[in-house]
Amino acid sequence: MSDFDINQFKIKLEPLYETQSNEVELYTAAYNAKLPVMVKGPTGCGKSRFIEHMAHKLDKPIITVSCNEDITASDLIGRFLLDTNGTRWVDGPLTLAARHGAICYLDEIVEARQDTMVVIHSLTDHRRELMLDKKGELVKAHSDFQLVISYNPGYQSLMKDLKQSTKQRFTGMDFDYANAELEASIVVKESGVDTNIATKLVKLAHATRNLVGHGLDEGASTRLLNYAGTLIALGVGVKDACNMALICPITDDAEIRTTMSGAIDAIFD
Amino acid sequence: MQSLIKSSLDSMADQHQSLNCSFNTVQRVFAANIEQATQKLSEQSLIEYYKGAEFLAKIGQGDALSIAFLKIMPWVGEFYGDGSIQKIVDFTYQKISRTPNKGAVEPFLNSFIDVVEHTNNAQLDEYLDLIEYHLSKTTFSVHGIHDTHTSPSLIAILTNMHLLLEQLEFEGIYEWINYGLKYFQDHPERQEEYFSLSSADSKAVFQRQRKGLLFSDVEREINLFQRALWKTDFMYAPYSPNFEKLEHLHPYLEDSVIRLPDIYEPLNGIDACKRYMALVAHLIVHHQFTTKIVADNVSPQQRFFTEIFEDARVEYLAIQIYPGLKNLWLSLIPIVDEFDCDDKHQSCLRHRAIMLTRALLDKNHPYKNQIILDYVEKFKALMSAEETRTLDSLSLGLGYLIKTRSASDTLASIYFENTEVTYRDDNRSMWLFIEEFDEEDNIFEHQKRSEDDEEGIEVIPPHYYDEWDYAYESYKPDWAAVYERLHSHTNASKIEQILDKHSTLVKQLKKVLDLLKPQNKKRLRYQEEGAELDLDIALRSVIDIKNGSPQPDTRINVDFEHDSRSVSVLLLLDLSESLNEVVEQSGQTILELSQEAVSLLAWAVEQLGDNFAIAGFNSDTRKKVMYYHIKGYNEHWDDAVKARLADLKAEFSTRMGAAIRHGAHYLDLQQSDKKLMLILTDGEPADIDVHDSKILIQDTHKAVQEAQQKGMYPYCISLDKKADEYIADIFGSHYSVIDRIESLPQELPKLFLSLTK
Ligand SMILES: Nc1ncnc2c1ncn2[C@@H]1O[C@H](COP(=O)(O)OP(=O)(O)O)[C@@H](O)[C@H]1O
Ligand SMILES: [Mg+2]
Repeated sequence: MSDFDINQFKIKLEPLYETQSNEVELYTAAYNAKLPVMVKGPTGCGKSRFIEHMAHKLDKPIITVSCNEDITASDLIGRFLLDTNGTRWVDGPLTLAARHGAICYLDEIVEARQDTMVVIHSLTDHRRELMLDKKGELVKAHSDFQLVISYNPGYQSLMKDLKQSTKQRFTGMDFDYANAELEASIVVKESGVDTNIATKLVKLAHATRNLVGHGLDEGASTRLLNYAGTLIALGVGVKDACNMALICPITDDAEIRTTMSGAIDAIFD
Repeated sequence: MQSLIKSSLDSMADQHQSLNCSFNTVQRVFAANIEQATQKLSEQSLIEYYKGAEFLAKIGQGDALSIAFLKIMPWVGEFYGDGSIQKIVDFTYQKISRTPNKGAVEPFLNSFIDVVEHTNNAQLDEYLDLIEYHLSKTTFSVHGIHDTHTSPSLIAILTNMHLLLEQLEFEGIYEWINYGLKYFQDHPERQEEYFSLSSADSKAVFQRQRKGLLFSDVEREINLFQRALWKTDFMYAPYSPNFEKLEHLHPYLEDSVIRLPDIYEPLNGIDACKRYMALVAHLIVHHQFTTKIVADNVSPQQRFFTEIFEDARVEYLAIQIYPGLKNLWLSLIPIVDEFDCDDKHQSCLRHRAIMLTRALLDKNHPYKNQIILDYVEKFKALMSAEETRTLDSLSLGLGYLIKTRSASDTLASIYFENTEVTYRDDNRSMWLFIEEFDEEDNIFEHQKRSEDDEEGIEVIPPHYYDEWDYAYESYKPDWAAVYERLHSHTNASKIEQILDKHSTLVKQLKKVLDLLKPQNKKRLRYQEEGAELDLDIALRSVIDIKNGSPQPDTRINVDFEHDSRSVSVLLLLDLSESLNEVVEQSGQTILELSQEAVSLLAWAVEQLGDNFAIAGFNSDTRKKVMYYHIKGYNEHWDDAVKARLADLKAEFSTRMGAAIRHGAHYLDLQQSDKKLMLILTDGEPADIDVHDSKILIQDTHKAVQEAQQKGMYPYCISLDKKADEYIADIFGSHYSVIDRIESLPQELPKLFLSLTK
């Protein structure tokens, strides 16, 4: 156990991140104080990218857990597995991060069932410790350990929302899609299309974002724009690429698709 | 005297054979038309022409028939060829003149003006068959005496032939006729009303047969389109050009409402939906970039050209943002032949205008005219400036008119063909009339108001729903007009008091609710992955391993699953007059009891977090079914909602089918696994314009079935003691009757909870 190398979780190459405002300073301050951070914002607007970028900048390992409905407390903490000698304890990602000192990033936390998340409580207050009750061990968090969660408020439904008692344990940082110019420059850098195409892709994304609440839960994300740009850079026709990367993934509604194909025709000549 | 006239007529027509007819009036018309007839008709047809005119003067219907005949038949004979005139004469005599429908002969002959225009030259028989069909079905015999009664509607249908042939195919006309026959064969007055296209249902059936795509079929797409590209949400008021009786009505945007044609056919390869997009885009960019300018000192011709530059200017600006609009618009702007208009004999104003229109937008335009080219340059220069204004369009417009003005501009004969840009509006929004009284506007305003009812806030046009007619086993199309409104409101505190009054009940409900809340977990054993080790199973596996079993069971965990609720609920309240009745036991009206019950239910559902809406309805004939939104799906149980619920009023009747259809429309849009529609009513469906009570019962039954087919679960809570007589016919087994009305506040929430457990 002691020869476990947490440094394998360090990010080697600097992830490209275009700063939107003073988020780098804010996050650095929170990290230095080891305050838990909640990054809020729509899907694909750069939350994860930002945290990776910061982990690299601060030169700390980062362990990311993508949450989903089936995730359980043991998936985070660890569990006994069977082997030929009986059973063997294996640390979960949360325990690993706490024990060895890493940023633990729980991505899309609302996707997990709320009762699962109760396990993080003791790590987020002054105690900074984690009880492995099945194993009978109390893990004191390493001084480099920090907990970060991401959360998409647009997703909110009465069934799927963070408990107040969970929310109140985090500092919050709001993220949104970058402004049109910045977003276009991200697309240029990430996908290799020219500024003209990138600007139009961003316009199309804005068109989809205008439909949120009118048949769309979320508009097209920066991530999808990058996909579309990548396809175009590879020689796929612009309209096909938009349909494949921007429209098809976000809606099955035939009427919205008709509208969006009208919008594509209006934006690209 | 007479012989004098005759001889002079003879000399006028002397190179032609004379017409053997004693009416001077006929002779005069003959003289005026024979020249044309000789030019148009073959020798054979000309003989038919003479014979027909002479014959029709002798069958005892005076001179009118021959006069109409002489005027129209040259075109008919020319178009349909030899034998056609004779055929029409025979038909006239045998099928119309010798029947009680004599009076229809003249309109019949006159109808050929339009028939020639809207049919092809092989369709004469088809037209005659159509008339014969209508005639035979509407000229009815009583007690076996044949053809004794005049067709009440033949003249009416003949007079509307231009509309019918212009807008419908023959097949569609038959459909429209058959509908009228089915309902009004035995009802002369209504039959006439129907066939003169003046009743609402006649228009509705007509509309349905029209060629093209109805706006209502793409309304949502267009709505989303304006929202996606401009974040606007203008409403629409579609018009049917022919019923508005306003010639050349153009689209326009005024008071946040877009007026547009209710139907479009594809044009130049642009499908109807795209045409609507082109139209809406043009209107919105006007809204964005056009500022009103004073019109009083600007002549109509000056305005005309100013508008062309302004249209081009706003479109240019829009294209900077959405370049793809250019191709869309260009495909809808006609190209004319530069030298097609002869400005010696006709006004070329529109011809010049359409060329300019094209040239301003299309850099590959075909025109060589130097003035056009100059103004395209001027326009380009203007648009390269940082900022442009509507006034700049005015100066370009004035200048262009001065350069191109021609004496023939005012001629009555105007070059019109292919000069209309259908997606563009009439630009009324760019002019400010300070002094002039704009008559046209006012007539229109007036008409719009009188269509609406007294409240004058009917900006949202009604939704029309079909209604089921059990006797004919078919739907009556667009029969019921449903108007939706936000319910009026008053002080929300009334609802708080109600909840206080029922505080014990509220406590009881809380317990039930807790059980229903989605924390409930189900245990799932035999999981590969899970929350906990399932010791029993795990031990068994360990033993298997120790015993050297090659394949121990790896499904050794237990997991837990949520019993999650994904429910949308619509509570639909009957708000008809009868709810004002006082319930003896409690001294409250049914309405007050409903209000209490709904408050409790709404509170309970809010606790559960189900997606929940409340609406009320009543009706005053099929023309006015009111649908009131009390709580929207997206709203919380807050003061705004309570204030509306506090103001419930009961009036009018209960056209339940239409209300269910409208409610279902919205419930269907909700994204949840289960969709429940609760209908709270105190009686059977009824309305004052329906006398056979079975009609609305059967229609409601249909509406319920329609909702069920879409996956909804309609359920009725009836307060009518006599409900057993009819309610199962409507809702099958999905209903409960609450006998003790005063217990409704307790019963309703419980019923809901048990339905959704
Ligand atoms: N500010 C940014 N700088 C660089 N890339 C960005 C930025 N914002 C978004 N992106 C791009 O968007 C994609 C999705 O971002 P991601 O961080 O995965 O979204 P989220 O975590 O918010 O769902 C990234 O892969 C990246 O290409
Ligand atoms: Mg215009």
